[in-house]
Amino acid sequence: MNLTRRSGTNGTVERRQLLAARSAIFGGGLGMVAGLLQTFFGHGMGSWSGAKANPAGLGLLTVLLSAVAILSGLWLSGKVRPTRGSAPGRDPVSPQQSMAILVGLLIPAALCFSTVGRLWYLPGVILLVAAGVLVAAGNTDDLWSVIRAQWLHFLISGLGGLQILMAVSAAPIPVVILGVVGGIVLAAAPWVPRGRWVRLTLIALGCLPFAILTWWSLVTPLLALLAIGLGLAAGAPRRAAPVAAPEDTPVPTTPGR
Amino acid sequence: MTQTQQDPQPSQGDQAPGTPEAVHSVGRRSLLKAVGVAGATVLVAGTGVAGYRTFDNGVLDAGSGRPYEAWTQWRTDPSLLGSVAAAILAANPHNTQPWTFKVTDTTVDVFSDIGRRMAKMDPLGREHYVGLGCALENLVLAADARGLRPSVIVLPTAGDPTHVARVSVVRATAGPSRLYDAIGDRHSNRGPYRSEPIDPASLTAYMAQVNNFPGVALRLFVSAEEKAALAALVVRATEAILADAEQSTEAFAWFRNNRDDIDTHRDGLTLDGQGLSPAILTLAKLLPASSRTTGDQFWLDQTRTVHTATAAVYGVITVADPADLGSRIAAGRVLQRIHLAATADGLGLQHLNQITERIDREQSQGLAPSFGPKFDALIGSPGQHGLVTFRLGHPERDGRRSPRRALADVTR
Repeated sequence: MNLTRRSGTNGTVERRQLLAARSAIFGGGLGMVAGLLQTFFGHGMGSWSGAKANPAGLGLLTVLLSAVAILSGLWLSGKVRPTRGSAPGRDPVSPQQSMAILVGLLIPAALCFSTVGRLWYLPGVILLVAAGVLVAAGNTDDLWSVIRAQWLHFLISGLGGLQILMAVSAAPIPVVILGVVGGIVLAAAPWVPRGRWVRLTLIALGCLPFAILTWWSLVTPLLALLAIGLGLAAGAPRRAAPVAAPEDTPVPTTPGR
Repeated sequence: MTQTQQDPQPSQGDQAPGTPEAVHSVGRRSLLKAVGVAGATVLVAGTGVAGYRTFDNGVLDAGSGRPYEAWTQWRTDPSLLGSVAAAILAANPHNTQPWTFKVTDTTVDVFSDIGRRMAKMDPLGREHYVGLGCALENLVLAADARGLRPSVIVLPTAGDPTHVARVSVVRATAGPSRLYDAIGDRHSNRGPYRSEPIDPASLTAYMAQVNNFPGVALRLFVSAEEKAALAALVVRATEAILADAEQSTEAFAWFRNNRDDIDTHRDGLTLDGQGLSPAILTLAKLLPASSRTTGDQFWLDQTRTVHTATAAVYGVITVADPADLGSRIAAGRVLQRIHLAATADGLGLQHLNQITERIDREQSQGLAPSFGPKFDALIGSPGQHGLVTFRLGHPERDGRRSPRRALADVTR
């Protein structure tokens, strides 16, 4: 499976990926500046930075998410990606990697419109453009296959991002830290290449403490129940899909796992 | 490994792969799986919307952030300016915070911010000046607690009703003050109160708060009959306000329905201040903002079923002439002292001024007085008229902070 089937030559794909990578790094860099401005000067910026009650916390979240976008760009450009073959870092990314990079661009692009107000207009648009170019560089069928195969994982990661968003608006600070760290753990948990119970434990550790501390919000307990339920479903053993055999073929008798 | 494990026989409900039954079963399983995944996606999307509302409406940080900083910083500055930080935490009508202060090393001048008067709900400025009196009392208590003995001149500039008071201070010894210590915990408590009666000694102490303010009296409504009669009049006045589109609209304009409005304006009434249970409060914040008519109905229902239904005692501060500015300011000082004393006693207090809001509205509109005579009859003190009303009781829940403008925004 590769990204070149519909997109012409490897050169075209590489050029588009490079453009997407540079856009992501540039947009992420601008986002970091926006986050730092919000962190240190947000109190005095009024509606330009959204007149937020907690500009320092939201600014730091913006810096963190912008760093994710930059890391995604660097990964796409090959600068932090394990290489193979003779052209280090310039292999077209796999659909799975493309998907991860897309998530790394779209989550910051979407969330930060709520964290730094108008300061995010430019970086946000640049990150969205970068995501669009990345999609255009690849085969959307392949991306769709990845999404279908890992959909529950994406949902759990999305819940992790949501927990981070809620946590930065919480108080007091220990609850914020617990929520943000838990959200990161929750977002990463489904992708950890370990056993089912390890992933489930990470999911529970990521969401339950924050949910217990903020039970009265209703949403955080709901999120925790949903994340654990999805974790159980995502980790359930899969049955092998049997194929309808021709009439003259002996019927296989090995049951699905 | 047994033969059975290697080559199991199809059992009931477990058709051999490839058979029509198996293909049908796979199709059904795929359908169920697709439905499950779609359902999970819808649930996650719904949680996403609710989570965004949680973030956007400040569900997890109620009572914190910049609009609430004043509640934690009012003791930190030992100077006279620090006393103003305590003054801005005073009770005031609809949290309009209708004040400005001019501060020097030894004086504070208190001014009315007439742009914050409510022309329909408070057309004669009654609550406006009572609120300024409340701020003045906090200022005096805070100066005293800082070792700055205050002397007060009310309405010091003849012909200028916006110059409410001048407070001059001289160095003195600071003493402990129960009322001062309660400033940061005093909030209007609009939640339900328990049926437990109030200690008569506390009521006597509240009555004594008028002692240094000639012309101001406190009328308590303690018996069930008296309370029922006053409660009925409060409910009728609430209905009359809601039937008056101008009053209803103005009251609604001072309601801050979301966190963005609170952060921007740092004044007005909020969902947090409505005395709701934690779960109901969260739901109210997660749902879309209510319309004026919905909010009106909620207010009326709460007045009927919570505010008047659970009041242990009502209090009405009375004066000879409710139109006299000096009397209003003095009554405001008494009201603030009673509220602080009640807070120190662990009691809840809520202002219930619907009756007087209708009295003034009728007067300003040239309407036949309907509430004034009834209110006077209930008070039953010839020559005295009700100025402000409140209820007292043991609260089921603590009162919550209201947003406050920054000190820099109200000083000149």
